[in-house]
Amino acid sequence: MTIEQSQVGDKIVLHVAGRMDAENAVQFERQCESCIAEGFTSLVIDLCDLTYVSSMGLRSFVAAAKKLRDKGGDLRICRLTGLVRQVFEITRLNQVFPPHDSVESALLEG
Amino acid sequence: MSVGLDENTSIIDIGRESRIPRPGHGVRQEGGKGSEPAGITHGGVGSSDRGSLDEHSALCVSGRRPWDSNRLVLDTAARRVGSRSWGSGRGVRSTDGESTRPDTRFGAAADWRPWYPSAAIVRQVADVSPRTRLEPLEIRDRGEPVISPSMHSGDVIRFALALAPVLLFLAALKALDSYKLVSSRTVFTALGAGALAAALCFAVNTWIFWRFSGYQDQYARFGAPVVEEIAKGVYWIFLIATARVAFMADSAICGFAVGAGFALIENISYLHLLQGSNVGIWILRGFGTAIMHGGVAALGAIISAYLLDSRQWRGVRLFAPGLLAAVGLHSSFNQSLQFPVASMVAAVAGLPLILGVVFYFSDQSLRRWLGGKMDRDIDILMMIGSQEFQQSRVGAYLLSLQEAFPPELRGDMLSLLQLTTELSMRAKSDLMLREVGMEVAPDPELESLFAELKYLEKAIGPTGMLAVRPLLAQTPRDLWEMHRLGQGLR
Repeated sequence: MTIEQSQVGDKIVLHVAGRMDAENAVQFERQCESCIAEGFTSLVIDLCDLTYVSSMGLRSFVAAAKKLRDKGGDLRICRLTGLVRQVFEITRLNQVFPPHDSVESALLEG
Repeated sequence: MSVGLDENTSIIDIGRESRIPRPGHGVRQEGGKGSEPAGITHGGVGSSDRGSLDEHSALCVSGRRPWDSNRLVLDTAARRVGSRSWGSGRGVRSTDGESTRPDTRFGAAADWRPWYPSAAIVRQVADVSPRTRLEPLEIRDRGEPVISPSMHSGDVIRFALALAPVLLFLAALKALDSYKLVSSRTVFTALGAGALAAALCFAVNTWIFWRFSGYQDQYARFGAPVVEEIAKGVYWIFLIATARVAFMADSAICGFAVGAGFALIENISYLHLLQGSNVGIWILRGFGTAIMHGGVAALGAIISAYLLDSRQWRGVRLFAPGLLAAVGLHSSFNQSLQFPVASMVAAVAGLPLILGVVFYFSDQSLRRWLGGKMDRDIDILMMIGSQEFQQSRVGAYLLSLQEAFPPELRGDMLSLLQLTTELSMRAKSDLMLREVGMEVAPDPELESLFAELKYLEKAIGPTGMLAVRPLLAQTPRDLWEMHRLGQGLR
């Protein structure tokens, strides 16, 4: 799994690619935590190149969203595809993180 | 001295005269020459106790509100008079001092060993409180009216001591449940089941006491724990057997709730039987016996849940060790009634420790299960949607059924597998959100998904269900999560 970080205004965009499984989900969670520690409360996660997400990955999304919401911010997910989209829909996590079709629309919200 | 005494004079008067004024019941002077009818002299706080109560008078005169110093006077009086022998002084003595009515009010309470000094004094002084009743409990217990409805602070304390500890303990257990495995509704149902078990045991125990009156002590030590733990066990066994609880933590909460319901009814009945009895008894019953009832039922349920999880045993053998442990611990508690304080301390100190460890390991186990099973569900989902499905284990198994079942039925089997996987994933994501304290919104699709599940099971039929069972998750925890999801429909 690779994570590319970029900053757009006061928001951070994390582009996650590959497989997010039990081993590397922690890496994603740490990246989110470091952004929060730097004072960013709005994160946009671009998942267009994510091919697999495990339970640990889902847990990382939920944990990061909780931390951001506690600080008055939010975690936005965009460009869900394939199995990852299916998993988000089945687990109804798409209700918790309403998915966006593009990074731009995710950045514009709020 | 009137009933509506001034707050500051009430205690002073009692201290000086040691008489108990009541409306319609005049106070006769010591020696029996007064003109008022039926005067009663307090059996405990007599003229010899003036010293202690005069001390209290001073406190009142000094401007402190009497109820502020009431506790102090209670302690002081208890200390001063407590060293004397009060063995026979608990009765109500007539004012001529010749006849003494034995204090039958204590009933079973008299069976308790006097581990605390001057219990009668503490009780009697505590019940003479400003703005509250001014007669000793003996009068109230004979059914005569109390002075005002607000004069039952002693009863309130007894009720609180008898009922609150076990309920607070239950509330604490529920608060510790980080995954919110047990709903409030389930807890209340378990409390009700425990209450029902208590009513049943009351009837059984009463009959056995009557039938075998010569063996009451032995029955209380060895027989009653068996009857009571079986009665309590019926409900927690039902919960585990029907997959309504599946982890040690929810088993502990439900088991404790059953025991708490039992203890509440038992203590309420004792509150009725031992009216006006010593506060110490209710400390013991509230913190000792009531917690014990909840604790042993919880431990029984925990042991069964552990065995269920480890899949070592099935059927009756699954529940026998937990039930035996509950009976054994209950019986041990009853053996040690000579040391009620030690038993109470053991229950109050030991149980949180044990349950704390249980909750920790239960959370670990749940987290592992949640992660592992969710990953398997995702893999199944991925496999069903892939081109290589026929080469997978599930695909190969379904192909092997082609001679036994028609294609449309095999299609239903695959749909059933996909649907149960999806429902399983929904249940787990709910738990995931609850773990971090995020709100779980009601799922409007759930009803139609369960309707579809029923339709598929019916279409596949019993034989087809047997054939597809190896593919479906049918462990107790899988059944539990289905039940849990189903609860969301109600």
